[in-house]
Amino acid sequence: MSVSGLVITLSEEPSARDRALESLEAYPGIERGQLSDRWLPVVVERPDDESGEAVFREISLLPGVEYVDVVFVHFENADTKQGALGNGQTKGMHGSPQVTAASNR
Amino acid sequence: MNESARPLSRREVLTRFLRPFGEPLARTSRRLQGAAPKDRSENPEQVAVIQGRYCLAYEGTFCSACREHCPVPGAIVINDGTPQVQRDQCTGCGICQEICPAPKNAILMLPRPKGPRHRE
Amino acid sequence: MNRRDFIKFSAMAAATAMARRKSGAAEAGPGEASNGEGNSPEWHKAPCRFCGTGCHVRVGVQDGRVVAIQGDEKADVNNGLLCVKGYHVGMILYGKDRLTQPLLREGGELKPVSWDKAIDVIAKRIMEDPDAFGFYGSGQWTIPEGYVAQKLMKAGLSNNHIEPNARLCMASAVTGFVSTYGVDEPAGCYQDLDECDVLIMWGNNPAEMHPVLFSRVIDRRSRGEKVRLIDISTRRTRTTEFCQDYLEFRPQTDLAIANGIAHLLIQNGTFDREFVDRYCHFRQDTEPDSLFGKPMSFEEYRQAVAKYTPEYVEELSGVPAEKIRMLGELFGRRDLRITSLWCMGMNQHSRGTAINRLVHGIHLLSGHFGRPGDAPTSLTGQPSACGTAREVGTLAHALPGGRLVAKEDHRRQCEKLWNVPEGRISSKPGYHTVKLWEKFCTPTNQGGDIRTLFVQVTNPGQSLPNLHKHFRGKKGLEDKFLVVSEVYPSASTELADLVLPASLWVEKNGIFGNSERRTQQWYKMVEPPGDARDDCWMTIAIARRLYELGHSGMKDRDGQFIFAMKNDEGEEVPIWQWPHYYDINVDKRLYEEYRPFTWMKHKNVAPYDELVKARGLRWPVVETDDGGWRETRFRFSGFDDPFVEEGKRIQFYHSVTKDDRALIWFNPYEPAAEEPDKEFRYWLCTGRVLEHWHTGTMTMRVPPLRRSMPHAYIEMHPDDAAEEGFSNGEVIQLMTRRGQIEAPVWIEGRGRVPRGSLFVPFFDEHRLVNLVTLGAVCPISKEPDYKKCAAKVGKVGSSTPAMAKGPEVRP
Ligand code: SF4
Ligand code: SF4
Ligand code: SF4
Repeated sequence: MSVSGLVITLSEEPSARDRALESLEAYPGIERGQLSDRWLPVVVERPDDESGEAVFREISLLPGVEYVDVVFVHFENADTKQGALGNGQTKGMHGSPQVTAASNR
Repeated sequence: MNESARPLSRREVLTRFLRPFGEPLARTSRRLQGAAPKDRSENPEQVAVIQGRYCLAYEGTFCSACREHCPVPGAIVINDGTPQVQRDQCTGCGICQEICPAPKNAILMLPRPKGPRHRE
Repeated sequence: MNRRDFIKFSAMAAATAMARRKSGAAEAGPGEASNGEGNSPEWHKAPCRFCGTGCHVRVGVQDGRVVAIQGDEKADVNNGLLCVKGYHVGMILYGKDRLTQPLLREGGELKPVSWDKAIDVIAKRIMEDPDAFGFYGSGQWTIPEGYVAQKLMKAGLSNNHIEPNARLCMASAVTGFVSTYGVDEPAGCYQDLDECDVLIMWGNNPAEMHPVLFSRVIDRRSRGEKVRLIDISTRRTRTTEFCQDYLEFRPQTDLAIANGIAHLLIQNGTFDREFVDRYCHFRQDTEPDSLFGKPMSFEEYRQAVAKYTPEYVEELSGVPAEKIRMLGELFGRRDLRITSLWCMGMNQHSRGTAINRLVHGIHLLSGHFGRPGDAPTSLTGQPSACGTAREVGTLAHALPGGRLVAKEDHRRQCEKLWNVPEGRISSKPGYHTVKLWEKFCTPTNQGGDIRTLFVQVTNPGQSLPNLHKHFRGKKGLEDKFLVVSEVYPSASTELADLVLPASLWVEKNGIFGNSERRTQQWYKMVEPPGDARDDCWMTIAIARRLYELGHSGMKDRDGQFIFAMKNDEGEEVPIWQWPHYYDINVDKRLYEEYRPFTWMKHKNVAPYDELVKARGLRWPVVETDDGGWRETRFRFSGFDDPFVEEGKRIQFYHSVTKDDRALIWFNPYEPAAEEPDKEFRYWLCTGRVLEHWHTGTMTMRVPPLRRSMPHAYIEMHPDDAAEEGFSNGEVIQLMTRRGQIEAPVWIEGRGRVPRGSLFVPFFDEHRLVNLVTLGAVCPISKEPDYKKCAAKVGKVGSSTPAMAKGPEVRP
């Protein structure tokens, strides 16, 4: 089992933000917290960390989602490494986007 | 860097298997700087988490200061240039957070969820 | 609450806290400024203050303060990225102990004086004995700062004792370029890093020293491109971690490795015969060594390198013969593009000129030259070592634009451009840096004929080698007078008789020139603190005071003050009076005055107004038919360099032999000036670290940087440490024949030395490693070797032989 605490940065644009919130409803295993301005805390619970990472990636690709920060990760078996903490970010510069396509900042 | 089957670097081997001997540099550092010998001992209630978003190494420039100053060899490992905390090794001392030079400190000390002690 | 709920609760608590924090302050990642107030800062462009990479930053200014720094996405060099120093560069302005008023030493103590008094004191010292005056500047001087100093000395005082600290870092690169191509500075540019298939780093650690540049290469890999990185070094560094091959050599034997490659290219017949026949000659050194040596035939060259078989090279260097063969094979392949990078490892070398020549030589011999990705590229450490020290020629033997004081026609050209009488420029080269300081630290009656030294934008009290001899010797010499212009108290101001508070970075106008021939301009954005003033102004004010005191050299051919400037209405502006200094753009006028010098050796820098618009432009910059300006990426290559004649693929148009050919040199391996022996059994190497800029005067005042790297350390092999009985973090003594210091051992820290080697960074003013370094110089470039000397270590308090004990060194 894996539990992650994420902060989703939503678009500044209200209609896009609403759309994102709607699509987030559709996700199983996501618990929404209190929206602060355009930052939404959520908890994602998954049976294993692989699918946890998949959810994380999918969320960052949703329209209206600018960025996803991982602030908390719990893995049940201790030797699983903390791979998810890359924040979906690709390292890079010089032509390659610094962040995933969804986070157009 | 997408080289498959990359062999472990010597540094990785050493940081994983070499045990520390004597006083860790971080403690010497405090003394040398004349800083109060703030007790930076282990704190099992917390664990370090690296926020890639703010970490210089994840951002494409180079840094591994946390790895170098962590008193527990192997608690932070560098893979392809980016640091990762091995939760089971981290003692929660917080030294890495203290020294992280990123413009926004990339290290969060989070409560380690493992027992009723943590319930408020 | 069960365990699962508890975990979820914790996760939500952490996420909520973070979301709240984010909504409180605008989100910010590295390089993004957070600005809670809502009213946004004004943004300007400037090159980073630190290294020779020359990244551009956006500087956010609000209420007269620099409040934010971002990587400049419009900049070609860094595309928005910065290294840890760059992100914090704004903070260097705001250390608590900035110097804010001139201080004059009276009765052993530094006491505040007025600027008028300070300038008057210097001018009178010069008037007293103009030939005993020396000016010691910097590769961190802006181009106008270096230019005014150069003009004051050579065209005003007829005195050639002007040197930049760049003598300590790139002099060997200069002599390497000049003796190979007849003209200084790299032919290629950073694009080579984007296009090479093989990148060879010769004693170079760009992951720490030119991080943003190195990330260009690493980024190619993360995009799936194949690039082979080879680290030829004496110590494992952060760079090594990214390399496929690590070739560890015994210090000084890089000469043998380069010769070994040349030998293999010839033996295997894989050298580029056509390239060599068309574009090269062979050269060897004379006795004693000279910059241009004497010709040799191909056959003689072949025989000279024949001795360097892979086995012999292995014997000398410790690098396995098969690795030498691997290098030989790579260079023998025409389908690969090979770029070599080097910096201090090859330059701070007692045979620095030789190793520079040899690496150029193997590129020429194998034809790995002149195509994007095929380049021998020296990196500079300082932000304007190229722009100011090399191009303005602020060296004891040089004049602006690649001219030499020793050559009569060169002097005449410069006298003409400066409009000073013929014969004004002295034909005798001044003292090179080490000599200059030696003379300053020698009593006058024992031949120490430099009595007054003016230091700007550098910290010789920490960075000169063998400080006891070259800096601290000044102590107690009553008639010696040291003037230091600084921004913070430093190891240099400690011994200064007069301290001048200087403006820093965006507190003044400036122009830098980076490693890839890129000239970069910025405007003053904030006021300097207190009474701090621009270095450029100081020099002009001194000149004016000398003029008033009747020094004839301060007048040009027409009797005008040499730094006279008029405003657009044609009225003279008294720029030597600080309140009027910014009435006009002095930087622009000085730069435009300097520009014609750059035309003499095809180093045409761009007009000031073009620089204002650009994030730097790489010279030669030439005007195009449509009135635009075009920069040059690849010098000497027909496809890009506007000065190569139509139809030529390669043309070395400043060739030493005047026939458009470059020189392939042979220089033998020779042992280092001081090698480990029974008593001093370790090699000692010194250098920089990522977080700190040189002597740390600026970066040690930036809290995140200081926290991350708080003090110097002694890097040691774990087995050596175990044998000596040291534990990690233990403070030990390090001794050489010149002195001793104490610092903690750091094992498995940032870098890793092999057995028998030590590494100590030089940024820490409380642990001055340069008290113990040797300072043997390259016979041609006069650059000291900071990378090699013999040392020993011991427990603190252990008795040490009296001869090894230097004076008290802990400040
Ligand atoms: S010290 Fe901070 S910025 Fe540096 S690698 Fe560690 S987390 Fe990243
Ligand atoms: S909290 Fe201490 S033990 Fe854990 S990673 Fe950081 S420095 Fe290492
Ligand atoms: S790489 Fe050099 S120029 Fe670029 S940000 Fe870092 S110190 Fe500044």
